Amino acid sequence: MDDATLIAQVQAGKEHANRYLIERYKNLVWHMVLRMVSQPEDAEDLCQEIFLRIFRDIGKFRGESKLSTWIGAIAYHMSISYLRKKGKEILVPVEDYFPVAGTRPVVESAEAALDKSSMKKLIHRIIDSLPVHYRTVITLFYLEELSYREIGEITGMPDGTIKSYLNRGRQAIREQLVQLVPDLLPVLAEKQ
Amino acid sequence: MNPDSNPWNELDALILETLKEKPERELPLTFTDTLLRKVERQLTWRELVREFAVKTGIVTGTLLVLILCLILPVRETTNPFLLLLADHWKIVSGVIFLILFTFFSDQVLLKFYTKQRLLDTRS
Repeated sequence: MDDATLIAQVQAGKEHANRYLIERYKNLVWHMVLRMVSQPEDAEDLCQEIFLRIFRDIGKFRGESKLSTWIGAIAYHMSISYLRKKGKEILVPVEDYFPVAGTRPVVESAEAALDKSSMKKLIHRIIDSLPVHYRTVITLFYLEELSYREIGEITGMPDGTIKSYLNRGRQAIREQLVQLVPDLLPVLAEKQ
Repeated sequence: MNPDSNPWNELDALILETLKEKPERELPLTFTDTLLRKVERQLTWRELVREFAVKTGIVTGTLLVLILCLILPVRETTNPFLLLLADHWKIVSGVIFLILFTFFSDQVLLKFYTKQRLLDTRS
C-alpha cells in the first residue's frame, strides 16, 4: 500500500489501515525513541503518544516528504521535548564531546574481548552513554538505513553535521572501547 | 600471529555489526491492539464532541437571530417576557447551563461510554 492510499484510508477511519500504519512504522519509532530516551518503560509510553499525535495530525501531512520521514520527525521532536521536560542535556556540540577517562562504566578483561556477545553488550553501553544527537543519527543511519537527506528531514540537521556526528560517534566508540579494555588490540591481533 | 593483520579492522567490523543490530528489548506484542483501542476512543470522542458543537451551534444561532429580531426594532422593550428574562439573567444563565450540560451528557458522555462498553465487550 502506498503512502497516499494509506493516508486516505486512515483519514476515512478504516481500522485495518490504522493497524497497518502502526505495524509498518512501529519499529522505526521504537528504535528512535528507545535510543533517545534510554528508559524502556518511558519509551513505550512515548511511542503511544507519538502514534496518537500521528493519527491526530495525519490530515496535515502534505506529501512533501516520505511518510516515514514525517513520522520520524514527529518521533524525534516529541522525544526531544520529553528529554527537555525531564531536564536532560540535549545539545552537545560536535566538538565538545570526548570520551572521558575515569568515568568508566565497567572494565572488561582481555579474555572478554574474545567473547563477541560481551563485546557487543559493552558497545551498546557505550552507545547509550553518547549524547542524544549522536545516538539518534547513528540509529537512523545504521539501524534504519536512512540516507543523509532523510536523516536531515527528520532532525533538521545539515548533511555536514550528520556526517560529523557519525564519524565522531564511531571514533568515540572505538576510543572508549580501547580505554575500557586496554588489552583489546593485542588480544585481537593475537587472534588474527 | 599474522604480521599483516590489523586489529583495528576487526574492531571496526564488530562495531559496525553492533550498530546494525536491533535492540534486544522489543515493543510488547499487545502494543498495536492497545494503541488501536486508544485511537478508536480518541476518534469517537472527537466525533461526538464535533456533533455536539454543530447541534449546539445551530440551536444557539437560531435563538440569537430570534432574540436579535425581537430586540433590535425597539431599543427599550416593553415586552414583559423579555423584561422578566433581563431582570433574572442569573437564573436564566443557570437554566441555559443546565440544559447544555444535560444535552452534553446525553449526546456525548452517555454515547461515548456506551460505545466504549460495546468495544470492550467485543475485545
